[in-house]
Amino acid sequence: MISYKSPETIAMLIWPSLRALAYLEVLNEYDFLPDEVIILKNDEGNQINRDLANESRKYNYHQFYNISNNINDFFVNKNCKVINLNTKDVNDPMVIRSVKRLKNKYIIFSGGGILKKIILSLNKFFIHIHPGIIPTYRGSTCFNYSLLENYSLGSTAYFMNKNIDSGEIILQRDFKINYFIHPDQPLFIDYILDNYIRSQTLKATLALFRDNIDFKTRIEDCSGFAYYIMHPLLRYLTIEKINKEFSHKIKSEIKMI
Amino acid sequence: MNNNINYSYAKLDLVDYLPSYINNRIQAIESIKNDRYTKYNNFNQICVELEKLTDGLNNKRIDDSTIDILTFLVKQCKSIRIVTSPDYNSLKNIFIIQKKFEVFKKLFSRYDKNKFVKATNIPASLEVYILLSIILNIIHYKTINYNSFNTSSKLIDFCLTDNHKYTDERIRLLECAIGLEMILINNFIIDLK
Repeated sequence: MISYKSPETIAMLIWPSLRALAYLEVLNEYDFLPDEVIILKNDEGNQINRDLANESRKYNYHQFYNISNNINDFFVNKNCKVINLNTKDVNDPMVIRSVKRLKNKYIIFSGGGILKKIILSLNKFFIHIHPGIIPTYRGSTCFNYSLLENYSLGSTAYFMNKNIDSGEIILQRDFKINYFIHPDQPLFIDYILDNYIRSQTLKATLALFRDNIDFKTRIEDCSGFAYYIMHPLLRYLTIEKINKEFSHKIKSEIKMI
Repeated sequence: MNNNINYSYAKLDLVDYLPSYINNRIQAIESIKNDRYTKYNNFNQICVELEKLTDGLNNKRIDDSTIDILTFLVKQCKSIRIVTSPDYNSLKNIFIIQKKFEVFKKLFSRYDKNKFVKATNIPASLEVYILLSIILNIIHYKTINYNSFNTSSKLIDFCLTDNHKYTDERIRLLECAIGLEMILINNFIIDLK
């Protein structure tokens, strides 16, 4: 166990995405918006955003997070230093230089690729939220695997290191899902469920920081195998399983337990 | 041989997904075979066919320092069919080969026995990919290992989508791999009910 003092402020490395939006929503809600942000460029995802907006109109995804928000709007009239970089590569030398200059030690990472050793060696703590309980569920698309195997759902906040999903664990949260996924909701799992459980776990992490609670991290033995990116067939079977487990008798929701 | 299928955030069409998936598999094998797909009804039928097919594969002696991957997989395929519940240690090398496929999308015909690094630049034959798919799905069949099932389906995609040279034996082996995948899908659906 390693003890840390809660940070008073934080920074965020933003690769514009729906996940970053979900994160910013909870940061804003907790009045813990970063006071330094590095925003990368990401032109992809416009079609996904349109399709998701269509799904959301019918199934009210705003109950999970507001997919129509704009990343830059979060920082208007806020005491935040915004650094816009013309790159989509999280390991670009421009990003490395900018991270080096940040005054904050703690940086929330919102995805966009795998951080290389050089950026992870800058004496900063990158906080990553992984959609799985480490060390059992390490690797890609883990929440699908945990749902398929034992209908469990969890997420882990940890400090990133050079190995995949093997860093110091800050906290972990379990969730229960009772939700029916209709055939016209192909984006729900990847863009709503995944981002939602991650953002709620970030929220629990922020609660530690906001209340100025010193926290302890722990390291698990992560020498076992990791999960690989899931084939569409198994992603479909995961949806079948979620639907099979759905009960009309209780509230339709994704709940932290 | 390169597999360029990108599985990351691939959009799913949930309407009639399963019938369409199964149909695509059957159409793909029938277009290669130029004949009707041989349907397998259960695991034992596939095992009987595998026994015949793997006996026909060239078994090279494993020397002290390197592993001929085809010979290794033929041996593994035979042993895994017999054991009721294979343990992790006996499958360790299979999982290493699985990781190599997942990371590099390419396998080689010989690997160093100790470090399991490639010992040649000669690419593995199509039989290697098919056998690995079959073994991984047998692992799932016997131990419920969705990570194995997952890679197995990617291996079948690889065998069906690239420009491979298909012999009669390779087609029969590929039918076993597809047959096993169908049985596992069917078992999953039955378990849900």
